[in-house]
Amino acid sequence: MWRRALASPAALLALLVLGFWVVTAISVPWWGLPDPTESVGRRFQPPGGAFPLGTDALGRCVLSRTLHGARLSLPLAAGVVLGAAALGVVLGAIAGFLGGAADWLLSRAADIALAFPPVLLALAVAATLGPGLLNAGLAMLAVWWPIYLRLMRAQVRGVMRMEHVQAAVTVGSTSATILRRHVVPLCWTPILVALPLDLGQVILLGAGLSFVGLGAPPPAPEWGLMVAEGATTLHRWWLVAGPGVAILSVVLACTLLGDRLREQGRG
Amino acid sequence: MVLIQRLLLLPVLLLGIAAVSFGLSRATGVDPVIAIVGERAMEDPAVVAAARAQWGLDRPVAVQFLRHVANAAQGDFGTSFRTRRPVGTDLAERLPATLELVLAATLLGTLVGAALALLSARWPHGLLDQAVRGFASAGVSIPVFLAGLLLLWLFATWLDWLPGPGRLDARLTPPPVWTGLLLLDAAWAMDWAVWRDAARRLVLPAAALGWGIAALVARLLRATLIEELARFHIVAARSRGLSEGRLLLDHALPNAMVPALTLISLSFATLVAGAVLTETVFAWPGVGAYALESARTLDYPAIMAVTMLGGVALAISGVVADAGQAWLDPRLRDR
Repeated sequence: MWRRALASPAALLALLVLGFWVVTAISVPWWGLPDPTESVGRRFQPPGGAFPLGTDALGRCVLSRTLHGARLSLPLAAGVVLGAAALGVVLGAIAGFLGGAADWLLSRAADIALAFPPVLLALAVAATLGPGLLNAGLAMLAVWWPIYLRLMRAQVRGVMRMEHVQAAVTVGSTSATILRRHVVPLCWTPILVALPLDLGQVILLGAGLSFVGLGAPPPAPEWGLMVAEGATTLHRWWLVAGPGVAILSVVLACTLLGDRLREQGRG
Repeated sequence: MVLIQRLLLLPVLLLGIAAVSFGLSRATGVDPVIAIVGERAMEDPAVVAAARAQWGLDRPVAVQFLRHVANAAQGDFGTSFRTRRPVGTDLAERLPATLELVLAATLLGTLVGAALALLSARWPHGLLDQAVRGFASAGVSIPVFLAGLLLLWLFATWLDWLPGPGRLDARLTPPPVWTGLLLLDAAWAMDWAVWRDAARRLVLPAAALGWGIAALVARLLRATLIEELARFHIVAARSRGLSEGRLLLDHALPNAMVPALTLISLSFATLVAGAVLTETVFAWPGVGAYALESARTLDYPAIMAVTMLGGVALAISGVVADAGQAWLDPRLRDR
């Protein structure tokens, strides 16, 4: 599935962009860039010279801040999506396999969590726990796990009706064996296809929470926060351009990759 | 049948929504009394006790919850710690601004998205189609706040074609409140200067918020239109000599619209999410900005009310989407 999806130039480009950001996130502290949280020059210098993307209101290097931002946004989003997927897959498998009251309870819990507009729930959670990057992550986790529960539950229920599962039940395999050996291995495709798309959307939501001040506190070089700091002086476009392009490129790459995978997954 | 099931589950859902919003507001480590009386008065036990009694915080949690649900069912959401006014009054004042923004964005997004999808499906895999698909991918990938800032920078700061943030020029007197929607109220009062300013100020936020809707609609409608065009009734109509345009508009579009309309009613959640950010960027005095300000100042009654109303609205929009689908597609009625 992956190999065929990568045959398109758009998907390859998307993968290159994502690869660039991952490498950046890991290695940027050793690139010899100015400290992203320290004042290193005059304030509001336009792009050029020692500062390719200019400097901000405190004389910090926008390029360095933008690149260092990957160290916050990417691990956070990856953590949220993987955490949500892990939680959702386990609970979804339980709900789909057991059925009955357990299924009803878990499904209603998911309904209720999905009943809130994501930003509002994240807002309420972030306000409850206090602003901060970790809390923003928890807030997004609360919003995202039910999506995976529904995906996994539907998938498990579909697979349970297949003949090989019926056969395993007939020969008296234990529930654990059936679930582990005959059901779960056939359930991964939709989950894997959903991951890149959700990664992009979580980055968007995280940037949004930071933008309104419920994510990373200043002076963190968080993309959403940087856009918010630049938003008051729009004629100094370079304050917004760096982090803006960063968010857009990562999310667009995730979307393109997710779309290609989904098309392939459909067959 | 699905519809009846969902209607039956609605009370469970609503109670759950209320429980979550209530639980969240109590899960915090901060004593809400601080937000009411202020840090300094916390040292005076008499003041604290009085505040607790006044706001009902001295009762057992279960009693507080039941009272909260009963009150909310009657439209009483308590008093905001921040504005010292009933939250219901605050919200009623701000809801029309959000409603106007969301309606304009939905209308704009649907029309633009449908137009793009039609163009795309008319000449699939052509250059135009590629461009539309590119726009659709970019549209769901750009943060609402960034789209808003981009539009603001381009049309207000740089080109100076449209006014900046705000719902109405401060020098203009708003028309008497009738519906709360400025465009309707101004037209009713025949105050065309206000109408013009309000309309010009609505364009950018509606475009920022509608952008995502346009992208979603374009993506889905394009796919369903192309699927629909391969059906036998289209082949039959084509062999009768109908023009491609007629085929698309009269024969493919009505069928393809069903999933798109469902998507539009379900994208309400995205719109509410976007409204919080859009209202921040454009200094729009709506519910989203109110929710954000409440979250920042730990104003629990207000946050609780907004989250709860958002959940209720979303739950209801889900049921409406189901009902609409059944109404448009007779095959779904007896399933």
